[in-house]
Amino acid sequence: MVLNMPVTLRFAGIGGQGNILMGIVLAKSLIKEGKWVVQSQSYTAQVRGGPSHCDVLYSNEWIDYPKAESFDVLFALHPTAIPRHYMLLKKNGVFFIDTSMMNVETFSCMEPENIPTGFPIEICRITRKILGYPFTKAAIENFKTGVVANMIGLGALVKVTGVVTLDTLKETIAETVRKKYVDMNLKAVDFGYGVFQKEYKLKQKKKKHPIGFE
Amino acid sequence: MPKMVLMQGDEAAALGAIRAGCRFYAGYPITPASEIAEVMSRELPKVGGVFIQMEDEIASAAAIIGASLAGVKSMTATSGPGFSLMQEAIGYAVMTETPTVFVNVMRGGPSTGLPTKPSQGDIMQARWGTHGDHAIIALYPSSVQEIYKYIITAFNLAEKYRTPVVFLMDETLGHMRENFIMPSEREVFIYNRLREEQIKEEEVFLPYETEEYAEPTPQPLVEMGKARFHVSGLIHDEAGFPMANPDIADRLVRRLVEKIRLHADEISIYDEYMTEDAEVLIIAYGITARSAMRAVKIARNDRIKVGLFRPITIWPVPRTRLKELLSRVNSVIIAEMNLGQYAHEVLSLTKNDVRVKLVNKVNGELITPQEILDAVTELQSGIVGYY
Repeated sequence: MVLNMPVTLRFAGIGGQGNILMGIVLAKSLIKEGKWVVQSQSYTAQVRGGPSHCDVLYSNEWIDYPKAESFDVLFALHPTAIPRHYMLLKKNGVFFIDTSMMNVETFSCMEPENIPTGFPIEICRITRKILGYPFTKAAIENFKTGVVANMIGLGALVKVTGVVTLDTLKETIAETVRKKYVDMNLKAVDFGYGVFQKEYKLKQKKKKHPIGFE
Repeated sequence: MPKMVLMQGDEAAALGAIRAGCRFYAGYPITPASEIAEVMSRELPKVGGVFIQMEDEIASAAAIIGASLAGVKSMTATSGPGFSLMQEAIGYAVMTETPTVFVNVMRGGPSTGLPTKPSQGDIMQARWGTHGDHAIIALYPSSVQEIYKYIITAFNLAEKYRTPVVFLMDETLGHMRENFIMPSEREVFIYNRLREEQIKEEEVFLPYETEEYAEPTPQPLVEMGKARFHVSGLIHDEAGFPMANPDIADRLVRRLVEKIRLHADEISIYDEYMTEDAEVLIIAYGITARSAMRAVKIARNDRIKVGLFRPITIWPVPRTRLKELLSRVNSVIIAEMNLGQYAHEVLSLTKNDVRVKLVNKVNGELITPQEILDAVTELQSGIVGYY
């Protein structure tokens, strides 16, 4: 029997940033592409400002265990989410960081001056695929509101990881979001799609080094 | 091929209830069952139903009993603290043999506990929450697709056996979103009430009369109209009038219990996974069954003969099949998110030479497949003694 582990993504931030909506939109798009999905969330009694996160798991077959212990993709929409969740990132997983509320613009493990104060440097030992971008700032500058920061993030996520196609994502957003705001959200996704140039493949098979027995 | 959509557990419960014919919902919002009320308030008026937010859970439970007696299928949804308040009314529904569905989306307890975390702590409360000798039917599905399917079953069982049915869920199941395929007309069976015109006008309708066979089956309830009858929570005769006669009391209470106990095999629904040649049997239900399923897959990969038995009708216990399986295996693992409520029931069926290991968790987190696998390893290595 082949054990298939689902691909796992986590969107973490604080309540009110729309990280659960990000997960729902992504889960709907994944279903459109014929995947089996489980989306679950965690939030506190605080409606806004409390820690909250949303997990999306997808696979080509039915997912039995609905929770994940480690993640292929981690998306931190708020700096407070970083110390809470970074240890759950898989080795060489992709880490997105919203740097709007940090004192740096770009992010690199190689350049110490680009590492913000208080940032857990251990992350650089887990992965080098760290992508920092001021999503919220960009949303305020370009769309005059911070609400679409999550959609810019989704655009960027789709570009980098390729979990779904841009067309499916846009189609889902057009169906999910209220009519009045569809245009703005679609523009935000397009904007996000152009943020990063890098592309990382998820689900790279681990290299095995068998010793004897095989 | 039917289209797959993303559906939340609570949403599926509400939509399934409407599909089953529920046209009255009374409730009081509580995390994690609020979404059921939310969907109901939006969808029920569209199909000519009534949604009402009552002042509390006691009133909600009473309201749905009233609605059911008045002729519509009715439901309420709540979580642990609200379910405690509803117990008195559940007893009334048992006594008056009123078909009702009580959804309980379990969260961490006791008291207000952990509102946003799952638990399976109300298993025994579902059975023995209300006072007096009674029998109850409780269902507990473990995926969003199943929630939709089995809430329809819950309504059918409630109508058929004229009893309140407790529909258990947990926070994870209620808030989780998953792939969902809307079942077609052919896949859904709905048990309807007797209509007015099905009863003869000149005949007296005795709602609590059952034919004296070995297996008493209650007669279906009639829609409101010609068939007027008396309803009482006191010991009553076949017409519904209070009687303090010892014979009548004995017959009534026995019948209330027997009507479900004797039909247990017919009612019970369960699922099995790789039990044909299992040496270790895992018993888990609800969301925990999904962890157990993964554990079985991993163990089978290592050629350990593990199987999973998943009761869907928690009450009545699928006794016949469970007994059969327990006689074949050499060890049993019971995994549940409480401190052994169902284990108590299972262990009453085991022989003495079966090794038992309980996997319990009450910290508001799911039991992981690893924890179940650890139990398998312990049993395999023979470290654990007899229970």
